[in-house]
Amino acid sequence: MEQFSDDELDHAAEEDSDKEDQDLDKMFGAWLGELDKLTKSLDDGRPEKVKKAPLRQESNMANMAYRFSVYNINEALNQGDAVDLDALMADLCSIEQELSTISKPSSASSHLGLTGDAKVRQKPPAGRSHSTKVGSSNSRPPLASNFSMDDITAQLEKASQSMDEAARQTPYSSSTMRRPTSHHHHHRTGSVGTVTEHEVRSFVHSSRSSINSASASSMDSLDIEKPKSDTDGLQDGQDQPSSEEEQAAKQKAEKIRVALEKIKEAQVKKLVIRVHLSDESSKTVMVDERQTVRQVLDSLLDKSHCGYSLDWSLVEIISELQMERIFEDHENLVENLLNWTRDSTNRLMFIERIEKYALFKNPQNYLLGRKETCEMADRNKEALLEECFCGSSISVPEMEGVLWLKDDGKKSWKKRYFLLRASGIYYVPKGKAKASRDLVCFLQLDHVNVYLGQDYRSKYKAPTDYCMVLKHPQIQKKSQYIKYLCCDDVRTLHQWVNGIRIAKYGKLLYLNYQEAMRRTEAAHDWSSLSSSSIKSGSSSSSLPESQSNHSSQSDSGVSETTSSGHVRSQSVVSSIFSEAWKRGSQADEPKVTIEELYFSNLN
Amino acid sequence: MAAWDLTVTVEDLGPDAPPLQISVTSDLHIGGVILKLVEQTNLKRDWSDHALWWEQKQQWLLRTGWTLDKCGVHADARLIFTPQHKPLRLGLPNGATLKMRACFSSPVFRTVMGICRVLNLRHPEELSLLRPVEEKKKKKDKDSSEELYDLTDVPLTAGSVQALYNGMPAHFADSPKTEAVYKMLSVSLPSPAPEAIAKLYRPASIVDKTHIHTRWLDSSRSLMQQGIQENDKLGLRFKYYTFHDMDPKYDAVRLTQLYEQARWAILLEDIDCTEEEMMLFGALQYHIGKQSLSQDMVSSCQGMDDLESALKSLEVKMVGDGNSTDMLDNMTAPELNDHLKIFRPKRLTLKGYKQYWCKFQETSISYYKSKEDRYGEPIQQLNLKGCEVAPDVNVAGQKFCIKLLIPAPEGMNEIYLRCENEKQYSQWMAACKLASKGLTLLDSSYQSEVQNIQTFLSMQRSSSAAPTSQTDESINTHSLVSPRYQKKYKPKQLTPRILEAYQNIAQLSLTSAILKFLQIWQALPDFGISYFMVRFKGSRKDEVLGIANNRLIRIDLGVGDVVKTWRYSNMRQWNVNWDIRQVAIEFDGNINIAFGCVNADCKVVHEYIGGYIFMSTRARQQSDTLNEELFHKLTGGHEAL
Repeated sequence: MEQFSDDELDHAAEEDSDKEDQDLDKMFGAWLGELDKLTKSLDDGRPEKVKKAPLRQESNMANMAYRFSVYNINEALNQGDAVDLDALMADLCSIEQELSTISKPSSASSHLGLTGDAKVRQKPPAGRSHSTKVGSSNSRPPLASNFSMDDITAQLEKASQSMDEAARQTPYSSSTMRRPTSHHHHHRTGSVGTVTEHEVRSFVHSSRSSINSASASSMDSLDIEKPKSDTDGLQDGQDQPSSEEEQAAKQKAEKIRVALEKIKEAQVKKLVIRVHLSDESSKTVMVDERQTVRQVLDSLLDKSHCGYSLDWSLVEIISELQMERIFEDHENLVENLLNWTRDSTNRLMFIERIEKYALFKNPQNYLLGRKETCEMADRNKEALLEECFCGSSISVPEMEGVLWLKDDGKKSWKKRYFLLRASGIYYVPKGKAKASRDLVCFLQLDHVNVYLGQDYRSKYKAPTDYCMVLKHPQIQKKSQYIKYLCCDDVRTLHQWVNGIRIAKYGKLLYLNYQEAMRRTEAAHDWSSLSSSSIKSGSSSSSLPESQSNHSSQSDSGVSETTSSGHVRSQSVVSSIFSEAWKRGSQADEPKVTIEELYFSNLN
Repeated sequence: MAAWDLTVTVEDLGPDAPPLQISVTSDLHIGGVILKLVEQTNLKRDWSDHALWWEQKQQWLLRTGWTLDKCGVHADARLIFTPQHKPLRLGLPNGATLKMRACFSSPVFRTVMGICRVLNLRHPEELSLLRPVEEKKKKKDKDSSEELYDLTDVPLTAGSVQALYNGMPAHFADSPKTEAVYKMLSVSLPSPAPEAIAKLYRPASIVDKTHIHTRWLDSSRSLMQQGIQENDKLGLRFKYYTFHDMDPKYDAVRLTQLYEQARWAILLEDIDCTEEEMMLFGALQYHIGKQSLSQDMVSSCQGMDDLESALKSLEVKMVGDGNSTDMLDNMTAPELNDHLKIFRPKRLTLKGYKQYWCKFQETSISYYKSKEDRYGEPIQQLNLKGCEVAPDVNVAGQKFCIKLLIPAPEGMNEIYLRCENEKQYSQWMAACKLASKGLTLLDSSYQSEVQNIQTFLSMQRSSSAAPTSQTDESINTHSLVSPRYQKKYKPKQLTPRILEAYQNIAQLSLTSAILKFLQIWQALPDFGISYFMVRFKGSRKDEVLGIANNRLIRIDLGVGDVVKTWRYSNMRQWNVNWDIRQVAIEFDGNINIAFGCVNADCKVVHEYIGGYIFMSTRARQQSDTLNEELFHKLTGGHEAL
């Protein structure tokens, strides 16, 4: 049923995406209303939290995420233009479905986690005395036969721990918002007495046998439940508990476990984001916090039917600082977007950028440190990439030369001789030669990303328009911690940017490229088979269909000598050499032809 | 056919025994000569390893089927009947000297294969032998005192796959003596004393570096042919800087020796690096040294070698004898609470550190005006996720500061935390380190992180107190860096720098630390370049040719700048004119270069280039067998055949 409705929605989207479906709109509005209500109840429900907010605002990831998504939805709704409501709705429906299945068990189990959570903030001063009491209660003979105890306690421990987690995330996790929030509220005012006997007992067990795991949540819950469990123990006396009770506890544990899995799934942060296209239009999509840029790109490409090409990129545009960066395919998108401030005017573009993988299309222009652009045979390119990225270590291209560095806080630029090494960017101090030992470290690359500056000639009086910026991804405003560099020409700029990318990501970049190639080729195969029209842009579109298999394609790209090289390989080599030697001994100067040998073995 | 007398010296008869005269005819084959010889000695022993060495011609007579006539042996020939395998003193990459038997009759390439098989080193083609630096006469007395490891009694095994026994190849497990040799080979040696580093020869210039490579032996000729005598000393080194298929599982010795070679290359300034890189190398050396020591202790403790079983027994212990009350008491709450001094540097303020009550929870630090205010709202809460953490420590000055750079939209917030003592510092520092990676105090690595910091601090304490004394516990940080930095910094200045670098690698295992060291070494711009002094055809001055695993580099001797780079992938053919000793290479696009070698044998250069091309052919070969023939074809020139 679920599947079906999804399909239907998709079809609607395909057939006429511009028409706004009334029903959907209504549903969406209702959902938003509910969200608003929840926001309020959240704020009411956690006065303590609000009061506790730090005086000086440090970035609070959790709150940000929540605000962020609401903000985006509102924006989308207000503007009303070209919002991809259908796709969004489909995502929301699936979440709703998930929620309805888990809301029951989660309400029961959320007690556990929340008590633990509450405890973290209000530690009873008498904590120590409690722990001694537990010692005495533990000296009782075990409550049950041991056969499944470990199992249950392990589950419970896991449950309580992740419940804790869940409870903490409740405020901003849009998906778990409904039931848990109300309980949160309830619990603040309510008492421990709402917890049932079974739960209490199982908690005692869990905290006892899982003690060496040093789990915070089990500790906390142990502390707070103790008084109750002691009285419990007194009521029961020293009796062995009935097996029914055990059974019940076991069932409960099982339920908790199932609920947990569901919650874990639903707990995944989902963000509604707005993606801008090159034609000034925009799309609204929902992304999951686990998704990489590649995954988001794939789903965008699936939905937009814009033709597959390696160059499709997600570009972060920081308008306030006039800089932009192409997200790398392996990066986590949500993590990056969470760096934006609430009032940010940053934009995320979905756009084709040839510079994204230019490094791999023409590696000779980036890896050899040459000053001029040149052509290279495909097989040589492949060998070069292989050499650079597939060795035991990454060879960072030898980038060095004069760049302009912007003075801190001033609009003046100074020339310095910079060098790129795997360990960071260095410059040659005044009056020194460029020997490694004398280099001064300009910065190390672990914590910074490289951005392209836009129109810094007018903004910062840069000597040219070819500027790059190095900064920590979290910095969003002007700061002395942002470093601006300016190159003499665009070629140098891109060589530096790509050099820094290689130093920073190494082989990962190449893997990204290969993965992107696979996707593009697979997509091409699929679309050429289904004979649907695609925009050109895929370089392989002119190839005959018999070569649709990508492995054969890469072979054909390596030119004719190598395809036979697979078969010939070693025997050919030796015959070449014996011939060479024959000639050599005659001429008294053996000629060694290595080219064939070199490449037949490389391929 | 006329019989004539052949003069043969039999070494086994003693140095003073006169040479034997045996009556032979020219059509007698070598095997027959040996048979006659053995009969005449009247000695009963295993002669299978013996062969005839023709002294005047400097060659072995190994083909037993050939007749004397075919070999060109006449009555004037002086032959020596001698074993093919003789003891050799081998200087290993880690600086130790190992005495072992090596083959003196086969080409050096195969001799190295044999040596590596005994040492359990895979991919012997990457290694070769070189003559040691000529030692000055006055050092003679010191020579005798050097510790010598002896493997001469170990039989040479034929099989290439070695069965493991007690975690080492079976032939090492024979006696405690050989076990010690294996330990020396597979575990990195403790850091040398700074004075020892300073005493060793260091190349001061690129010209000096060209001398190193003149000493390589010719791979296609035997040791005897190159004038190497029994018990001579030779160095075993990684020659080709392309390390194929490195696998820590099988490559314990290879990894360790490669690490040692890299370490010495850095300590002796063979390869240049920046200060930041040197500090990281120092930190890694310290870490590797410490891990190697602790690994020793673990392996000596029987039955605990398996980590899992160790953990299990620990678990049993905790569950079994622990009274839960104790456990609860022992358990630390997952937060830190303490008085710390905090300082936020701001422009135009001179305000110093101020004391606050600080609470570390999850990945955040909250601070309050006083302990009494701790249930209220904090003055500030700092989330350390993604922040930079740097130590600012001086044990002698009792200064224990943590410098935090916390990213925020407005820029980085700089905050200093000042701790009272080492204990407090190590706890908070460890917590900050974990939090910056998004981990909480609950993380299992917290305790070890605290420990790491404490040991490092104690190292600083001991080194500042007694800079000369050196024990296993404390290492002078001067022994971790090259003499240049020994001169530039005092130990107490150096330690904080190394400590800073150490923060980022303290959690690495021994193997990953070694791999990391090698990785950084390989990423240095000058890595793997072997220098030769050459004179290019048509040029009147000496220049330097750098040979790397993928390219040739022409370097101006005066300035030290790279003039031109040629890549092997563009190479069409190369040849050697042995008469004028000139190497000529043709590249794509009709680029021809030719050069003669100034201080090295032309063969060495030729072999180096051919060797790298051979190494690159290994990449796609699935089989493990080494293509010896191809190697000689690529490196030997026609002389080899």
